[in-house]
Amino acid sequence: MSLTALHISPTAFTPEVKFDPIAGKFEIKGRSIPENAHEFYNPLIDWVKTYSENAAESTSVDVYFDYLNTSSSKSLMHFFNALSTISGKEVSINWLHTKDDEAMKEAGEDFNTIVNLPFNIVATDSI
Amino acid sequence: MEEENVILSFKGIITADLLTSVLHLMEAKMETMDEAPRTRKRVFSILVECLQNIYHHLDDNPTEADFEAHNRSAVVLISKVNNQFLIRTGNCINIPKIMELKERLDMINSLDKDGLREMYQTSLSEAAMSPKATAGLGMIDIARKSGNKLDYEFLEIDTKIGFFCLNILID
Repeated sequence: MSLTALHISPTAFTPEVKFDPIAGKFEIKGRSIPENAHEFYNPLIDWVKTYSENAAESTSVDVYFDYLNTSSSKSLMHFFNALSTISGKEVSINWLHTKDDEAMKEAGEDFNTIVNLPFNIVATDSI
Repeated sequence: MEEENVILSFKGIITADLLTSVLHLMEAKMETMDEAPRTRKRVFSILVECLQNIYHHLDDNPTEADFEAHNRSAVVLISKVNNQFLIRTGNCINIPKIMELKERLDMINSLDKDGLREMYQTSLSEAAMSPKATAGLGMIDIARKSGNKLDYEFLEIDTKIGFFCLNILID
């Protein structure tokens, strides 16, 4: 089953999404503060479920947020859980945050504690 | 002497569109203020959770006849008191729901920084298990980000409806 690349443009309340199923490069970037995050994330989770049936040898997911609400955090847990069902292949998450953003560093540490995937927290100068 | 400057205040029915407008307005206002980016981010993040909490709480009671339109309105006041940001919210709540919320707020207030982190992580992993959203993740987040206890009060409007006031002082 072939899966086409997913690209969603950012809005004031939702992030940019770029999923490349061939290269196994996923990116979620920007602001995620919608009041009903599942409406935004459920299609991404469905996409990942299809992808997991025929995943690339290695999948790398870059995640960067400047704002993240708790509604989005819940949906992200579902998203990460969907990724963790990919078996026999490499999957890793890179949680990026700017150096001075304590809140996003802390959010990454929360996920690192409960997500069952290789999880790297990376401080950068700019995204 | 205590000095209070109101930055933004609102009273009325909370809708999704209104929520969006208030957030845009607050962000624009804060850009013109001489605040550290860290403070700006904290205030904005806490405001997001406060407003979405109120909105979702109203959403829980769409068909209850007792919860009529005039009870669906809320009050939000954002101000600066002696150089600290203060967010105050007020909204109606069904009396039977007060006890549960009060217990949750007291639980949150009894915890220190590490305890709050642990409670947040537990709630977040539980949220991933059940399709139904666990309530209260927002409140824990607000407590963590504000660095202060949640100051609250419940007032009685009549035998069925109460009024929930929440004051959040941001470090």
